[in-house]
Amino acid sequence: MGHIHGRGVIIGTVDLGGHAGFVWAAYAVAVTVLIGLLCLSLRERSVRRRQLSELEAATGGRRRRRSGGTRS
Amino acid sequence: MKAKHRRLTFVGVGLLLLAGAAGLVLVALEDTVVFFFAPSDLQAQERAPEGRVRIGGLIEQGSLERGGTPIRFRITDLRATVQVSYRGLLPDLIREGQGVVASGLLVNGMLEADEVLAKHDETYMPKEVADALRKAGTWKGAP
Amino acid sequence: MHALANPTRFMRLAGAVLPWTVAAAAVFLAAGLWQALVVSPPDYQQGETVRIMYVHVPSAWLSMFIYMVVAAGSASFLIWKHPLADVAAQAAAPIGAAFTAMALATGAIWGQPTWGTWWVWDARLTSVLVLLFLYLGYIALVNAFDDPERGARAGAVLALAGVINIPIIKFSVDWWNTLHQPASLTRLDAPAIHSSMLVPLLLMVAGLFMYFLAVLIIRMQSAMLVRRSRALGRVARGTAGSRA
Repeated sequence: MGHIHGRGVIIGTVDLGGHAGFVWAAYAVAVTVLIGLLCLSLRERSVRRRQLSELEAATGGRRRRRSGGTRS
Repeated sequence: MKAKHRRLTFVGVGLLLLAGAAGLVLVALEDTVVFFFAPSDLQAQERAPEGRVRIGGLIEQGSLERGGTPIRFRITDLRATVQVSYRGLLPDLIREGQGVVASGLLVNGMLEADEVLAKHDETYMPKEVADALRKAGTWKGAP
Repeated sequence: MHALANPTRFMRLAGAVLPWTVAAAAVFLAAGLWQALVVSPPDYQQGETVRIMYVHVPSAWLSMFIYMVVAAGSASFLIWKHPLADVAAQAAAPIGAAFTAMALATGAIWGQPTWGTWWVWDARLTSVLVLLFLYLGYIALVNAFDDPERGARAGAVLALAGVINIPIIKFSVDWWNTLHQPASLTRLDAPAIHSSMLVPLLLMVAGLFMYFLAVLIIRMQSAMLVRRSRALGRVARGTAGSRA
């Protein structure tokens, strides 16, 4: 596969030999999936939080105090 | 019997029945579930000698002729061997003593393969460790 | 266990644990990536391609582990009517689906340079594809009903039936001839993986597990917010109805 030395940092990038494209593609897929799912989950939580506070405002804020529990 | 216990029994029995059914189906379909046959399977059960088959095993030492077309090698499971000819590119990991899965037509007991895949084992180690093990004579993997 | 059965108390505890799981995930993943891409040596057979293992194997393990979480939550919801079990199962399922998709994609990318093919229909690869469909079917079924209680029950039954697939995935490589290699780590004798490669693997497993916990908590928080909105809506409708 013709890599000279597998480990080591060369000019700021990691040298991964002949199949580097496959290795990077696999890590790119993994990072995209992980960050994508995290962002979706965070966005859903903020949407739900806003919906609840709007609803509480509409119903007179009677139960407002109890909404604090899920804030992190 | 409390409702809780009834539900527990229901789920438990349901799962057992389902597991039994799945087991029976998988046993019945064994020939389709296996991805390949070993050379000795072929000898033992006298499968239709013509037609598409997938054969897996190790590439016999000293049998790999990479030079010409077709490429020739023998697949062995240490009990029986099958001669293979193949026109095409071999995966990088194909070498003598390594796992291989070839599929194609079986003609007169010889496999005319149109697909050759490398099958690697579950050992992972750095090259230096493999070399040291070979030198020490404690090597257990493929040569 | 009984302290965790109270939803309000559980969610307060989960909210307190969340920052720690995020921190742990970040630390383990940073160390794991550094080990996987820079420190760990190339393999004697595969060379550099072996580095794909450090994302492929942990995501495959977690995809099965999370399915067991979904199934356990479903059983606990169906049998014991635990008030948070269906919330946990429904929050875990999309994470499991994501890990399954990740395992399939990284496996295909690993298969091409090593085996010579992106995909084959062997028992291991096919049963993992079935796992992805089980997750997607569960998510679709849970959301297919107007009444969330009925959706949760239908989904729970599907999740429990699908448990059969987990031992099939795990033992497919031992029961049948497959192109996929057998397990390296859960063998009865010594694991067939050198310690310099085991360290990045275990770091990535720890990091992705912590990531799972963090996203699980965030998704459960969303579900509890929805639950409270729905209760509030019902109260509002109820008072409006009594006035009319």
